[in-house]
Amino acid sequence: MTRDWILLGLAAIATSLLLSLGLAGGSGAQLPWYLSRASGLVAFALLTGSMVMGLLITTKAADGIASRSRVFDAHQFMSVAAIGFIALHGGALLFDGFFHFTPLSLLIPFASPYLPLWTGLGVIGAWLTVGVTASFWMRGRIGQRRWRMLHFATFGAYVLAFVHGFSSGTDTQQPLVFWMYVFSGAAIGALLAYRIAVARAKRQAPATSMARRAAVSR
Amino acid sequence: MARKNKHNGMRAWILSLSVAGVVGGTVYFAGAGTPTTVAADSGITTAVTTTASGANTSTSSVATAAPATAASTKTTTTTTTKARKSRSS
Repeated sequence: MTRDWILLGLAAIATSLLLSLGLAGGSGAQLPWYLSRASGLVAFALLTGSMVMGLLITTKAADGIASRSRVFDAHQFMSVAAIGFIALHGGALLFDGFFHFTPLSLLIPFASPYLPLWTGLGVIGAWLTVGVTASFWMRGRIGQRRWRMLHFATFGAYVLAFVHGFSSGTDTQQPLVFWMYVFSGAAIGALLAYRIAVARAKRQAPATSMARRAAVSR
Repeated sequence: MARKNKHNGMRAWILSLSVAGVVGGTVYFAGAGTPTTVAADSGITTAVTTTASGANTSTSSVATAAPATAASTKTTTTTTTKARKSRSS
């Protein structure tokens, strides 16, 4: 990730903020609330996209369709973008006139004035996402094995984000949002099941070939 | 460096779609499209008309006939706030 892209990401977030303020009326007291909801949904979509890309890499399911470097780049970039929009999701709440969020209540799990349990799970999920994404640049220092172990925390982050969005999100009952959650869960669940199947097949393959060799030598 | 430049177009698409999603979502929520706002508006309109005319009128007819006065707008805001309050509890 170059510095240019980080700056471009910040510019994109600022643009979405300014365009939202301008197009939605600017002076509305509810605007931070609307902005927070919209950016939360976009952050969840980006997290889903990143997870799908990550699972496509490990299962090699996209090998014939797109180059692995492209899929990996999308995986990494969507993770970073998700963090940006998570920051916008939480940051907008600081300006909400109804719920009085403070920086600490956004950063510390279960300290939220709105649905502390479900919001707290979202905060933990966000910290996990930050940790796992940061590990992209620590791979050399911590080693491949530890990096892979740390990467499994992504599943925890996704589940927490899903539960947070589905339970505390005020738009879950809207068809478009509801079906986004359904499709997201189905896609991740299906790819995860496929990944487990691939891993099992890999583990069984050496055992089978060894048994065959032993039978032939007899 | 060369590898990263190869994916610039894809990154730009991801960012653009994300910005469009946030802007579109905010504008949609700010409009009358959300169920919460619609439900709150219906309730408020009923209250305003009942006070003004003193007649028993149904919710739906009141909602369409309600004038966009300052009073009704003010009540709308209050009830929306109440709806959020009840949702949070």
